Amino acid sequence: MFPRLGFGLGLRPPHYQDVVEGEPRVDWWEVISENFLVAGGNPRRVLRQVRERWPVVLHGVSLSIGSVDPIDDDYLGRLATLVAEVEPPIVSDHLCWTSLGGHAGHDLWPLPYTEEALALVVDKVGRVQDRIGHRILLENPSSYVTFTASHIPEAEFLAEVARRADCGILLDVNNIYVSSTNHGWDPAAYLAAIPPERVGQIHLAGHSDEGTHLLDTHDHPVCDAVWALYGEAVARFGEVATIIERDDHIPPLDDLIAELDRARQIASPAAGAAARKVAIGG
Amino acid sequence: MADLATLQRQFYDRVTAGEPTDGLIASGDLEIYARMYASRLHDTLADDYPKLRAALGDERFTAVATEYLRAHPPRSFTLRDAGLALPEYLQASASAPPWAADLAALERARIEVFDGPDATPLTQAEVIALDTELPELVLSWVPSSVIVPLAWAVDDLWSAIEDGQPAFEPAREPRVVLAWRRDLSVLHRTLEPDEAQLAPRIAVGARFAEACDLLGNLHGDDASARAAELLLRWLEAAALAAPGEAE
Repeated sequence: MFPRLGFGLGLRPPHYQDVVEGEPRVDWWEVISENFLVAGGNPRRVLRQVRERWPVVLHGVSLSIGSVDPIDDDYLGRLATLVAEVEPPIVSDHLCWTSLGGHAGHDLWPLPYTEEALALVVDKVGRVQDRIGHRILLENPSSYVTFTASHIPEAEFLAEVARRADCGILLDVNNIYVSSTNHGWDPAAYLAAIPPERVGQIHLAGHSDEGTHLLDTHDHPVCDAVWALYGEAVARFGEVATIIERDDHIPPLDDLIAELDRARQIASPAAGAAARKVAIGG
Repeated sequence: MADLATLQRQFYDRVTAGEPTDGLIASGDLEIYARMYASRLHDTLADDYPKLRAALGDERFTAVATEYLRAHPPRSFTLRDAGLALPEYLQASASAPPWAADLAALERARIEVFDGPDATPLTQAEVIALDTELPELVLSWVPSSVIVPLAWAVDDLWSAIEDGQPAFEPAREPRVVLAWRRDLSVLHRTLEPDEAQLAPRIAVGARFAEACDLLGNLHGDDASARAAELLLRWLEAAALAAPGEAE
């Protein structure tokens, strides 16, 4: 149902030169859509050059699919143009809301998991997919609160959105770990509630331990607990297109490629079974 | 039970303005979101207006940014636009010195230029090839260009901070700055008085003959030499758009 792209990285400005001028051992790249919705400049040049050599998928942060606000037509029009230009195998955003009353929060705010929110998200996903002419994937967010109004487990909510709206799921394994730790959820039960046929991509990332909670900061290497959960995820979902995201304290590209090798090893059918046993057992 | 619209309003007001909530969350801490909202926007303004921050100092810049964000909560999908109205806001703000709006306008212009559309600049060879058709050449700045009228000499302040020198209070000396992008480099230059008069006309496309006429009013018999001098300067700066590039 979704392309098996292999193992990729989030394309970030500190690595632009190494990517464009080198031969990095990366199967594909994910870019933040909003960084390429302006008319010109260096980002668009790099995007064109990278697209000539690799598949590039678009990952957005401002769709605000869960907001009671109407969809921002200007944003969606720009995204549709970018999709037509890049021809990405995957287009994704987050199961969250980022705006209200026309004001942008520039953060991934959590939804209450209710029937009302479910119906709203399903309706808006349909509108988005029709407008951009592409199926989208929704990513589970990291969250730091739960709502009194919520009565559907997040994983079940996400699965139901995917079924009703006929969209895909971008499973962020780090976010599952962060939210499960923060809220006392069972990450294995979370994975079990996700329909395998809907999972089109996996995110891996690092987080920060703030003492009272984990924060999804993308500023550390992937931790062992998240690698273990990734092992469980690939055992369940197969070789889903996987990337590592890094947005702060960005190391040299080669370091991230080495980290990506660990994902390859865990996901490899031959090496994966043993690696998963070690990871899960550890 | 609150409906989704009410819940999101309560959440938004708590996170962006510290309004109290009652029974909204079952677990966790909304203050985490409030801190992230504030820090992300303040960091964006600091990144976009580094010279203004240096000139005002951290404490005053933070106070101004807080006031501004309260008056202009972001409306765009991109953080790039979070500080879009800061120059205009500073014109009417009593919290910042009177020259702050000009410095912010110059920094904003450079951001707009950086993200502006790519263009092929007009070359000397193309101009020479025009020969007798030169008077009909339409002069037009590259699309990634902004004319910035200033009441204060903040271009000098900008340069001093860029060079690592201490900030100072700029003189009240009106001038016009042209900001443009040459390949991937953002440049700006303070225009001489006759250039400053020509700049808005070139922004909308002016024939070379029209530019010469205006210079004739200013310079009399020296106008032709001055026109050639300015044209060469603009060509060397890659500030003029090639034919067909003009918007």
